[in-house]
Amino acid sequence: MYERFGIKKELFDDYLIFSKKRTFWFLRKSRFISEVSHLKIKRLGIKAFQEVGSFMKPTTRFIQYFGVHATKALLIIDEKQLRQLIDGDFLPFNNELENGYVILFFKGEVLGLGLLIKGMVRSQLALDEVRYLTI
Amino acid sequence: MYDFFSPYREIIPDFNSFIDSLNRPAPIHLRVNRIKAEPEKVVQILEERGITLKPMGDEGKRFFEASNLKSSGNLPEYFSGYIHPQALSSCLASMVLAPHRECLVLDMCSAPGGKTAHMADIMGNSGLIIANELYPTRHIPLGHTLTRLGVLNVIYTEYQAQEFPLKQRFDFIMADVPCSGEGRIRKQDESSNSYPSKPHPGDKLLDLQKKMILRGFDLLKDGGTMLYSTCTYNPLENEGAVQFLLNNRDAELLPIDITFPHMNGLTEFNGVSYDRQLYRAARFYPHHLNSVGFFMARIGKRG
Ligand SMILES: C[S@@+](CC[C@H](N)C(=O)[O-])C[C@H]1O[C@@H](n2cnc3c(N)ncnc32)[C@H](O)[C@@H]1O
Repeated sequence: MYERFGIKKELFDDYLIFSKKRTFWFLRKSRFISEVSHLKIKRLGIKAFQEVGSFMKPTTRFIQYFGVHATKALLIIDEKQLRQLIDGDFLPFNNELENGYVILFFKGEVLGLGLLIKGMVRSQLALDEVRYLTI
Repeated sequence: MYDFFSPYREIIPDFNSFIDSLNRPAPIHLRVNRIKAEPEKVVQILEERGITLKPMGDEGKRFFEASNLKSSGNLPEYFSGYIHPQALSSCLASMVLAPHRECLVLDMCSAPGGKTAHMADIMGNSGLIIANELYPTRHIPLGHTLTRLGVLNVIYTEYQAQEFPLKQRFDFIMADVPCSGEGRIRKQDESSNSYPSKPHPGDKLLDLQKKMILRGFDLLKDGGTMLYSTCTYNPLENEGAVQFLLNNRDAELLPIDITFPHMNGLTEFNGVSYDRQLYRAARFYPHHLNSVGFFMARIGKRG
């Protein structure tokens, strides 16, 4: 997170990380967690990452929450560019950056992730959720 | 519609205005999710989109009526989790319960999660909320709501609320129980002539509500607070359930201190008397507060 996005590690100090089958979940630390350990837990917090090959892929919801603290690998997009991404087009990324995920900012909001490959960014936003956005 | 609600003629003030209000569709209310966004910024973005926002209440920029919005689900601000479409009366429930930061909360009947997420917002995403919901299919929208809104202080469980394990007690409990849903009966849109059919609470539902309110109370720490709420006008499901609790436990009704228009709970209906404390409960009607009809009682366990 720090290397790619400049998101400082200390930000995660307040969270517990649980993992199951290459998926990682974040839960806010609390003194009550041990007190409810007798409960049958269905799930907790939010899904944060998934190991995809050698990559750690953050989830949209995780990046929407922590992405505001990012200092690099950011792509600020306007209405037209967002529409292009949703339509499946690629956007050029001008800064020197290794292939990998970039954070998409739209009107100051963190929308989610794009994937940078050879200078071009494609959308990683869930199409069924963004297809009908009124931009 | 008139006949349908006429048994409530004596308890709903200005009954004809009440009936009139049911002939108008409910407005869209938006709650700004402070977990993810600054209210001022959200208002600015939405207004730039041409959405007319009317602030509701004196609570600062948190609840709005969006008069010219048909649906909020397609807005990028919805996708980003900055806003949540939530009936104002539903927002008031979490506001009235007012769980503190760093405390332990149980939401007995959580899905689809509007009140859970609002409590997380009030708690600054700190402490711990147990979001309980019996039905697996209802966990899907619950998970969607809470993750979209960035709720990180939550553990999900799937118990029958009325049998929730007693081992651990809670500081605050939300008991937003299943009900007949009369408060949601309104014309769907201006052009339609149809209403949803009137649900009727059977004995089974009334029994479930009583069991839930008892279990909720038993799950409170000494000095803890529970909110019992429904979206129905039916006194059997409201004052009747609270009366059942008062008959069986040493519970007290706490005042509900809000500026939004509401009526006191009933102390009598259809020849049945309820404890005097029930005037402290609150009834919300759509001709007073243009939202879903709602009932709430704030209940304390003496410390
Ligand atoms: C009025 S709704 C709750 C709405 C929710 N509090 C909100 O604000 O989004 C009641 C919920 O209770 C659930 N439910 C029904 N019977 C239950 C039981 N025995 N135990 C736990 N949950 C139950 C229903 O599936 C429903 O989702």
